[in-house]
Amino acid sequence: MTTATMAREISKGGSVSSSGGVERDPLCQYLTFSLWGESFAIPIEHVREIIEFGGITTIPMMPPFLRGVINLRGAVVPVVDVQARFGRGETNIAKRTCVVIVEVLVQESPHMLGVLVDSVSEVLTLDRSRLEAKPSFGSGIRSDFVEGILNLEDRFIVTLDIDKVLSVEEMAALVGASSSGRPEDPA
Amino acid sequence: MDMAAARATLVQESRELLSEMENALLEMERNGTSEEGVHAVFRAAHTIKGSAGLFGLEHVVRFTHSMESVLDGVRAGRAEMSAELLALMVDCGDHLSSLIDAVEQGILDRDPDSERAGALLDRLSPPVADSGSRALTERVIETRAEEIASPRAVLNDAWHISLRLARDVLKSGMDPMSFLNYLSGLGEVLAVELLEDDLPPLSELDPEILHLGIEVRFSSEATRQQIEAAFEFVSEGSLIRILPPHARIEEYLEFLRTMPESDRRLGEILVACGALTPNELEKVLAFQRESGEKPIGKIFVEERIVPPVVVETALRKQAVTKASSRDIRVVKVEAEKLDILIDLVGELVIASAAARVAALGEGAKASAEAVGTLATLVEEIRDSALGLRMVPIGEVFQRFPRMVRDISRDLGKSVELVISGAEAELDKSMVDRIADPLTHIVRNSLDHGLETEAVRIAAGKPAQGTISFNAYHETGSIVIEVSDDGAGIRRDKVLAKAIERGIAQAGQELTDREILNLVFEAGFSTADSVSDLSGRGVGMDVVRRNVEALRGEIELQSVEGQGTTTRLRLPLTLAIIDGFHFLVGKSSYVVPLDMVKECADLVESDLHGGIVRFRGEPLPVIQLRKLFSVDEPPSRRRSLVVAQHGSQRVGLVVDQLAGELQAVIKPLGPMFRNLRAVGGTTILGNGSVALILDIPRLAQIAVETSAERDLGRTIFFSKKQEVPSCN
Amino acid sequence: MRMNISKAGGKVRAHLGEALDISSVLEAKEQLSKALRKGSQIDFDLSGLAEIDTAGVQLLLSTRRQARADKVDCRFLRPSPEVLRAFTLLGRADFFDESVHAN
Repeated sequence: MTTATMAREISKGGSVSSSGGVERDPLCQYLTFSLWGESFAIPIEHVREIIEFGGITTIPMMPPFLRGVINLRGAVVPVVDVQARFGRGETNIAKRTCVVIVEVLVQESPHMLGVLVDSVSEVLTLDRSRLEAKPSFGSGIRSDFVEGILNLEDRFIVTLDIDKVLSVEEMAALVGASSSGRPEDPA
Repeated sequence: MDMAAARATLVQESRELLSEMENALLEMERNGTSEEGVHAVFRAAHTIKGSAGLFGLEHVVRFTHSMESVLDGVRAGRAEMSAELLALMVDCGDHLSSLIDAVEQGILDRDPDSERAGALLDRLSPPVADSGSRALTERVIETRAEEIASPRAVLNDAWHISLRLARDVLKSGMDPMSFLNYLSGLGEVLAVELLEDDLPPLSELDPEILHLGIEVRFSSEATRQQIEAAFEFVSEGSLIRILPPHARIEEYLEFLRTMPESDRRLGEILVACGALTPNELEKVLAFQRESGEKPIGKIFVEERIVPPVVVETALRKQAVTKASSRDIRVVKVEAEKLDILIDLVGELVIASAAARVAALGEGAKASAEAVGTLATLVEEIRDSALGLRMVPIGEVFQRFPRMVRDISRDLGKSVELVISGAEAELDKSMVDRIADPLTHIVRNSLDHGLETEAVRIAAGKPAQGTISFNAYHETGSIVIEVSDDGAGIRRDKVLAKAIERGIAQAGQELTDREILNLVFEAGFSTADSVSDLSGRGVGMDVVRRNVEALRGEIELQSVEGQGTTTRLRLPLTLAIIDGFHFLVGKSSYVVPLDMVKECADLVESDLHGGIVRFRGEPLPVIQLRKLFSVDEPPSRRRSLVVAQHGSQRVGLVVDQLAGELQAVIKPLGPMFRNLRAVGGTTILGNGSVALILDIPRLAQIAVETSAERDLGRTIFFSKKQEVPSCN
Repeated sequence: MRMNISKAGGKVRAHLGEALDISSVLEAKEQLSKALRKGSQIDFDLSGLAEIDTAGVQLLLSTRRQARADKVDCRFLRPSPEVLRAFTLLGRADFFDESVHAN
């Protein structure tokens, strides 16, 4: 799937905001992508677009998960290397490497973040019943990053808790941590 | 009409008017009563009354009407603006303010605190004569005026009313026909002349706008006030003239002069509706021709019609009205619209830079010139647009005289607030956010800084303490100083408290500056017996945080026994700056242009670690490639960018200079809030992102770090400065 | 504002109803403009106008001006009591006096 097609898929799905009291759609959509050869997925709601990797400005003295910032049509968006965030070293940049632009809420205001992935696979539309609770055994990454598991015919795909993975609070603290390891108190 | 939006406007305007009223009252309390002051208070009450009437806020109308009546009595010389009355008016202003607050909350039909209203109204009512006798007095005065002027009186024994209502009255839900109906209830409408001179044919007509004027001849026993009452709530921009029966011919003359239509045309209308006989009209026109531009008043006096004193008063009244209408013309703009404009200007700046890059790339001379012109214009637009956001800091300062007055009275201290530099401008988005820190600082001064009269006298100081506000601009910043001539900050007490709180260690050697800065530490201010401290203490950590959130700085200066000054420094604009661009390795950086003192080639042999010998003097430098861990080999000819902030200078060692540019500041976002040395990013003409460096922070680091210390990540970050180990 | 237009023997007759006031003048302006373009003679029948305010009076005055400029023979007939009252109040009872070719 090309990036453009991907974007079209996403916009078709639309951003389904789950406001309280609204009947939940029996179907849900997930974007699947690959990190260090393994598949992961996130709900489509957060995803705004997908772009190729390129033109990144590094910010000095940043922890490895913060690759830098990019110019997204005039907005400066930070790019998070999820692999590094999971403590598995930096992502190798290759031809299929892309950045998934997601929107997260920081204290009620929306902010854009870019997520660096090895490659993007597809948009899955499936029945909500396929989403199962996260396994108690390790899936290779921090357990609070995992939201659940998608049960497909031939495989399982771990779904990530975007709010935790991209927790600005946590990342800001890490960005500011002094060499003695003392975390900064959030303002 | 959107009622909610209209109500919001009412609330906002009323608040502004109440502020003006309060200022005028306080001014009179300080310096004695004055005609302009009384007039200003009256005008505020009157305008609020009118607007409230439009919304049917009867309780507000009643309350302001009572205030107005009293003030009218003062203006007419029937009552004195005593100290008690001034204080009463201040209290009334407060109550009115709470009524407006209630309106904002949606309480439209009643006074939420009618007890207080009742008490105030009682205090107000004694000086006012009942309306019946007032009307009588008015009529007597009018008749006397007529008698004086009788040789010149016109035959017309009826009122003449001229209506040129504002164009938008129809849209506001008002209709001239209802006024005419009202008048019919007060007397007899003898004639109506409709002026259609401005009425266009259908194809050019805006049907919702009023294009008609109305002249009315009206017979009635009513007083002028009762007639005026019919038009009291008509919107601004309406021109209404009321000429009494047997008015002086000069009044018609003046009326003609102020009307847009030609004299003859209007004269014909007046004749047509019976206001003037044809003979009188000729007299008026002849008068006009002869006297030319001579002021009406002069004509009066020369003809010995009216005693000079009366004329003078009348003219002075006119002058006052004219002066107040010559206020600065102001346009109200929604803040959101302004923000959108600023965003667009930002995009324009970026696009202009991109165009310039493209033009230069293609080498076409004509394009480059055109783009150059474009860039200059864009710069001017940028400055203009940003200028729209600037408001004088006096707007913030003006909240304080009242607060100082009230609190000092409560504390039993005598304090005066002196303000200078109120014209210095700052970005409007900061205005609200700076009020809280300033309030904190002032409260501290009042509570702890300033001594009681007795203590001051014993110390040989004047009994009255002074708090002063000062504001001025300094290279891209606005500096705000709050000073008091109180007891100053007692270093020993501060130190003791800090040790007690675990913020400092006993035996630690601290500079005076460091001791003062302890005051800003979180945990210092959980004050129990704050009265021990004759100095700062309450909430200064919050104050500093608020100031730093505005990308500003705060510092204290104090002399024990003499006083304390708190100095705030805030950037002038948050949006677009003139920047200087350079490269370290392949990365681009920008610093504010007005902080760049000069650039020079770096003589490598003059560089020793963290110091360079520049023009014979040592200059602390920062080697950005070390700080930013740049991998690429350094350029063979490096440069030195000398930056200055306040009194501190620092040199930045860079690989390549890239010139000036306009930088639209894109904030980095919440993830980077602990990153101190970078104040944001900007997008360059070629689309890449450049980091904007925070010079003051870098300068501070360079100065406080000696050449031997390792410039590591500890210094790049953190509010708490770690003391790195020496090499 | 409702407007019924009929044609009889080359003459156009437009019935106006029921309200011509600030809330409907914008729409009515278009209707009146269109009506004026329907022929060289037009009668506006005002018997059906139960409500009219100053904006409505102004609109009719302006219509007559336009007709004059376009050389359309335009008459305003059978004013309802409300219409007559409004015009009289504003000093223009003569609007309906055809013998006086006033504005």
